[in-house]
Amino acid sequence: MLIKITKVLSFAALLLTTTHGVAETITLKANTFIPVILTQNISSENLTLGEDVYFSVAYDIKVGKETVIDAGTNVVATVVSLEKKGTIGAGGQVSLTFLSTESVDGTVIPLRGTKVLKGNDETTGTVVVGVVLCPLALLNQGDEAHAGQGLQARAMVASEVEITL
Amino acid sequence: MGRALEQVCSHRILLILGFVPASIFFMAFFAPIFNAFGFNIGESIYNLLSHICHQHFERVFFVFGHPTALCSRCIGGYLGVFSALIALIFYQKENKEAYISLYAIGSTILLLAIIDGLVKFGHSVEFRFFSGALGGLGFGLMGASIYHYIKGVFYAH
Repeated sequence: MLIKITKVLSFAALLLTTTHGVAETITLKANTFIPVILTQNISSENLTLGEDVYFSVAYDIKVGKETVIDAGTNVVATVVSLEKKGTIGAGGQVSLTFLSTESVDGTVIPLRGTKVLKGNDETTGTVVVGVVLCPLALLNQGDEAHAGQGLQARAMVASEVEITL
Repeated sequence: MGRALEQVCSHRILLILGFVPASIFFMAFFAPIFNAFGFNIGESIYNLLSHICHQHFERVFFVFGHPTALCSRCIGGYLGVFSALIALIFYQKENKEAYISLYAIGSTILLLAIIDGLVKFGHSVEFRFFSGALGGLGFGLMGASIYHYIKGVFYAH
């Protein structure tokens, strides 16, 4: 009788471990490519230095067959350099650096990579017109640097991360 | 071997012209390789080639999990141009009419690729590569035919 009970209990224990499973740890290697898409409209004229800009992950990132970062997860980038458009045809310029995103278990994944946006620079034309034709042309401004939702960019995992599934 | 080398040397211009698309082609693959191994030069190559290609993720090949720095159509195009230029180093005919025929073939192939670019017969990465390669081959054949034709005219005089 005791043997029978022991067998039933061990079978139940086996079932429990197989259904619940053991937490699996997956390593997301450094330099893994993370495709990101801009989720907001940005312009060099309304950004400030150090401001956060939001992207999202373009598609599921997998290690083997396991998804470690879901598509659509927020990616945070920050404005590291900013030049607004100016006179004499100077165009705007924005440099964004990717900071982090999140894995499926909530682990913060540090990212690296930059995205530079440049507005159309009209300096040469402005100087030529300003000197040859009319000095008032020197007041001409270049274009702002801007980007809309859907802009694609490349980010990479900055350092190895352990993710528990 | 000696004759092949002689032909290559006698068409240095074609060789130099072929070097440009070949370099761009190989750079497109070096960028993801450098990035995968953590070398910053990869990003520089991506930035350089971003001036000639959109680099959209859904239209590129992946190497070590990283996107190539050119889309599949561009990669095919540069490979096609390079192949045509190299092939025509070794294709030499005495009569100029052969190069006129080759020019006609090249322009027809290029036209097919342009039509595909406008109508979009296929959307897969492989199809775009094939279409780009056709266009590049046609363009290369046209360019090399013109080169051979002009060289033939000057050589005859």
